[in-house]
Amino acid sequence: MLSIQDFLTNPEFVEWVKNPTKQLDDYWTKWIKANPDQLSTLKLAREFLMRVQYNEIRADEGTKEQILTDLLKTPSRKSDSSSTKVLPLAQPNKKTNYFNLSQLHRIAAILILGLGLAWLLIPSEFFDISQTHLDEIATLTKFTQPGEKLRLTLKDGTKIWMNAATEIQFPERFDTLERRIVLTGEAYFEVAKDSVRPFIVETNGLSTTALGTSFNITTKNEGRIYVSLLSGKVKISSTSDQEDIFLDPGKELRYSTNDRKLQVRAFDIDQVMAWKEGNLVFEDATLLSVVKQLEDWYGVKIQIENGERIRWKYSAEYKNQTLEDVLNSLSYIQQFEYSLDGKQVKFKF
Amino acid sequence: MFKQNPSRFTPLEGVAVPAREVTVSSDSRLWDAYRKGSDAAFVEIYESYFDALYAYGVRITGNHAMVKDGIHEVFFDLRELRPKVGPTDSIKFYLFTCLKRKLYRSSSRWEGRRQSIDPNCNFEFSMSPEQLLIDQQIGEEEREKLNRAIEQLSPRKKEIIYYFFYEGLTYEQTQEIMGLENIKTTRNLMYKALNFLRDCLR
Repeated sequence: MLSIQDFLTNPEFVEWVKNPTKQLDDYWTKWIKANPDQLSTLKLAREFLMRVQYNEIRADEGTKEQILTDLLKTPSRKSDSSSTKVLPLAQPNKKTNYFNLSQLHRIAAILILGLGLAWLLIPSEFFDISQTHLDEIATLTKFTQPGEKLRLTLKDGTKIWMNAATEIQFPERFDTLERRIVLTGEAYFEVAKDSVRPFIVETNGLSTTALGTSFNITTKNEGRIYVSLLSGKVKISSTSDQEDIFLDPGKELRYSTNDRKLQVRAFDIDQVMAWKEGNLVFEDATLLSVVKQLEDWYGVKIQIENGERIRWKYSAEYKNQTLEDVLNSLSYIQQFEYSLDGKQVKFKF
Repeated sequence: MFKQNPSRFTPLEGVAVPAREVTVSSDSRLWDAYRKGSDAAFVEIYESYFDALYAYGVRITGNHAMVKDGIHEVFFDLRELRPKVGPTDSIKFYLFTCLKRKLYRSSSRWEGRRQSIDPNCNFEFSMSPEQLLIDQQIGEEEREKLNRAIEQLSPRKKEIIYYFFYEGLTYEQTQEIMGLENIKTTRNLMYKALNFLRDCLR
């Protein structure tokens, strides 16, 4: 037996009671025929819903027209955005003159003058009020040094894990219509769901748009951008005229910034996400790419001696290991000598 | 919206009432026209949704001045930032979300002036005393009992009932606008919000 709550939490029941359509009528008529024993509960649910009443809230006469008139006479934003913003305190409806203001208005006027002076004298952070929605919004930059990782949560709830040697720029607060950030390096995103404001990550000519998903982006491979999608859906557009690409979970887009070619393929989640878990992973890596990764990961400088003819395809995984452990293993397997002096490393072939 | 003419309701048995026409995705069409640059569509959107937005804003904040500014800002942005605006198939939901965000943002500004946003959002509702059906089952005594129970509901429960019954938002939209974890928690909250019915009706 269905309870009265079962009916009232069913969107198609609520819709039928509020805005019946032929389709809904057909369905519920047939449903009742099939379940005659539930008719009384259904009727009770229906009567309850019909009786639900809200008090009416209306704007004062003329408000709707007034706001629309303001909106339509607003010139484009460049000319002067500050004049369109009405500060709640100062909202004169009629033309007035200081000398015939009521006492209350005089006080208000003095306050406004005072506030204005204060605004000139006090550093602007004190005055959030003065920030209108179209003021230039400050851009914040977060970066990690080589050897450092960082996790941050943006104001909209989106979580970002930044790998070493990575920079992210984002506005102090997102506007109402989109959430846009700029990335160099590598980061993993868990985007807070917001179907009205897409989340856009820009990387050197490629933008990845998400509504609420998790994905990894890296620009750490010279001339290449990889976007790896773990869940949800993302749209990727490049500044060149190519068509947008939609990625499915488990798929990765590889984009070459030089020839602007792109390729979609499956990827290994463990490998791509290894850095987030503290695992250093090499997959068929060349000497140069191993060196670059080690430099970023441990924050060291690596010098190579006599390495011109060395061709590596090195694969290995190191879980939370020290630089020394990694160097010992690497030099043993690849047969070379190394020296480690503070932040300076030398590979001797 | 709910004080409606009883004749709009279909009788359970017997003759079918002419059904409303389903206008599939008329929202998307109007919205796309606006996005493509039509100012007429912009004004139509404003005209069609102003009242609903205004009432919603006042329910959240209890502050008419703030809501006026908020609506002004929402539509100002829509007009000025048109190229950035994405598609939607529910204009009402889109606008509600924008307004709620604006109001919460400005409420933190207002708090400095000791006029904070209303913590008990005004999503009050009650049982209409009107005679709605011939064979009605909710008598005067039950009605009063229900009204007392409704008053006791938490603000959050009143809010979800408002979205679901009054605004006709889907569970997905309700989840998002209330910042709930997932669809399941949203359904559960709605179900729990109606728990009082068990005790009041039979």
